Amino acid sequence: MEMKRLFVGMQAVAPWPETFPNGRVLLEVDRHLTLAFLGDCNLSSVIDSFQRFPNPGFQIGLAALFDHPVFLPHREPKTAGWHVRLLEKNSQFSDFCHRVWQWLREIQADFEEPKEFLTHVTVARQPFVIREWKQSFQPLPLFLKNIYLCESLGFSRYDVQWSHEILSPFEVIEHTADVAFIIRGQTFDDLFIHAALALAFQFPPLMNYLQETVVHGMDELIYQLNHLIARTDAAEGCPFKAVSYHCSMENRENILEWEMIVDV
Amino acid sequence: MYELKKIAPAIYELPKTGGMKVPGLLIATENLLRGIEQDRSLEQVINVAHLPGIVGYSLAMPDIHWGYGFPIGGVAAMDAQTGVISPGGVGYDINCGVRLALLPEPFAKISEKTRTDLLQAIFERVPSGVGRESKHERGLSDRDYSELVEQGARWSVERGLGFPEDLDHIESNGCIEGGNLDFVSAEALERGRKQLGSIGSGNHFIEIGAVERIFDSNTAKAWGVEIGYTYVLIHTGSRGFGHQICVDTLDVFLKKGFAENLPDRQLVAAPIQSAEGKRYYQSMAAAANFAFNNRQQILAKIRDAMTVVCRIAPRDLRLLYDVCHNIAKFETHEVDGQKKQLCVHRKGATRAFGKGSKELAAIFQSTGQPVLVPGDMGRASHLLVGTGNPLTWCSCCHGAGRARSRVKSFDAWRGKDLTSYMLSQGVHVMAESFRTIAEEMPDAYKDVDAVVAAVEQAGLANTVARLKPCLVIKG
Repeated sequence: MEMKRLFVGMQAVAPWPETFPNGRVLLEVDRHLTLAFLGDCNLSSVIDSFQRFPNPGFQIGLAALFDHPVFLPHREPKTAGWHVRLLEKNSQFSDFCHRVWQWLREIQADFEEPKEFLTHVTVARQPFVIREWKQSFQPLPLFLKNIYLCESLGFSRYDVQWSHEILSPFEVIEHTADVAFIIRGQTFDDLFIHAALALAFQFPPLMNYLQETVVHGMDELIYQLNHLIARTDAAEGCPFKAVSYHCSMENRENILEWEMIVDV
Repeated sequence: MYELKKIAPAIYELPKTGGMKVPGLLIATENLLRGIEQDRSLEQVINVAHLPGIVGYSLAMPDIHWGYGFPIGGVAAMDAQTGVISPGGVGYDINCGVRLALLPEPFAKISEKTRTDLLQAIFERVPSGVGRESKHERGLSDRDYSELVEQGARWSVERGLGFPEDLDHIESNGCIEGGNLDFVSAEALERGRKQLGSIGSGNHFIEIGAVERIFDSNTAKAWGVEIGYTYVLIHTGSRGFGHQICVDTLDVFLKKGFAENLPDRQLVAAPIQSAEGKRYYQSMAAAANFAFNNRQQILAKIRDAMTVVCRIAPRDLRLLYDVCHNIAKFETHEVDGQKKQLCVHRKGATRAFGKGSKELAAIFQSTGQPVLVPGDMGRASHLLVGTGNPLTWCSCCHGAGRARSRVKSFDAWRGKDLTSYMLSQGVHVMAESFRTIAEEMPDAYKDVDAVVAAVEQAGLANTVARLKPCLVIKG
């Protein structure tokens, strides 16, 4: 039997800092949010079951914020990580997690769902100095993307054994003079939060000025984004002048794709 | 791809088709043309030709690239009575512009240490980049605001930030008449309140270097420009104040339905004589006057830095000229043999009045106005003299124009020691962020020499001097 140490996680994509305090920092590609830890399992039988993995219900990656550092376990921490606060679809995500845990119990009798599910991404392992990690922490935007079944290889390296692709909420595209993105969402509210996220990836302090907003249409979407830029600029400066009224929008199988152009 | 017809050296006509009210006209050499045809900017030249009241041509300068509604490097003149005014034809950064000052001392005589000290002293005095505005200061009061948007650069001069003679050396004497705050939002006021005297980010900069070459010795002499002289070039605009005025106006214009029947809603434009059109003009003028003050105050801070570091008198750093390159202005031009008042939109384009223009100060009436064309931070910037070419409503190019996107430039230079690389090229560059330098590296821009050659061939302006940057602060 091919026994492997497995877990289910979601890829965490963020504008990671260039440098971190001391510690055994995980490679960018290995930073993830763990949904469930399976322990040592027979890989081939588990892989077969994953063909029936629960549908997450969201097709586009989830916008979130690293809002404070976490050190686990609470007593004698071995990992330094950042807490993930979802900015959208909280109940959908929670429901998905519970469905995953229930499904895992069905395919693996000894699976235990986490007693305390703390949404976080581990960034480094011991040895580290907690004070340094606390001092260096700055809130950062992120999105949770592909779901995968991973094998722990040791030394904080992982190998993806199975994955479920999820679209990125935004992509940077070419624009000669300024910056441009493809923003994805199923509703205008999604587009707003994903557009704000795209901007925050380039200028994280923007997240401090994000307000809960209901958006009904294209013009309102641009109007609200420009208010966000204005609030940020007035408070602490902002590299963006404005989101332009460029309204190129496509609907691809119920996913709205908006080409957002931002004057810088 | 486009049916371009060469009608004169470096001048191509884009014939009138469909709903175009006038033909398009592109200033470019064959080499530049190949690059221009690769983006969507000529499509925007065609779109602009659909605007009500446009006269002559929908014009494109050789540094044209894709913008919002209007291309950057676009010029369009509208009949002041029957035409429209379009915020997209001015740009978000209202009265973004360039200011050139000269120190009659050879740059070569400034020691390496003094150069480094000078760059540091300016960097400390002039906020650049994001969030480096003077947070400790109280910022502009509402009274300050209402005075400066009405008075233009004179407001700063009267507060000791410059000299009265500076005003003769600024386009429109540093004041667009009619500026007021009646229709300016609280948000715009807040954005700009602490930003006066700051560079901002993006492609804005301060550049110091040497006059490398003189092409037109008569004009250079008249303007007091000599080979080797130290120059200071400042590029910035109206900061958040102007950006917000543009955003607010677009919102109003779109809600009013002024984009109907236009090929691109970003061209949204109100009749010049409508209440909305007049309100935009007043607010735009307010932002333009904010920008004149911004550049005036930055120059004052640089004079202060040079006084301390280079031991010169502040007046020694003489303002040669300040031009707007994102503006709509009322000007009188000849149309079909008759003088007519036009609203000339220049977005990424510079006014280039020739000899004898009444609008110019005496010193420039005998030569034509200085036209300032910054290039990239490595190669060169140019000083030209306008010829007052009626074909382009006396307009000229405004810069090199980007050749490579910010994303591509950043990716190409990521992880490299950019300041060391630029130093090896003879340029000491400072910026708040690595990203800005990477995005603004010289190879992200077209060759400004080629752009300037095109406007010269087309007869829009003549080169006077080539300026070589040595010290650069990027926004």
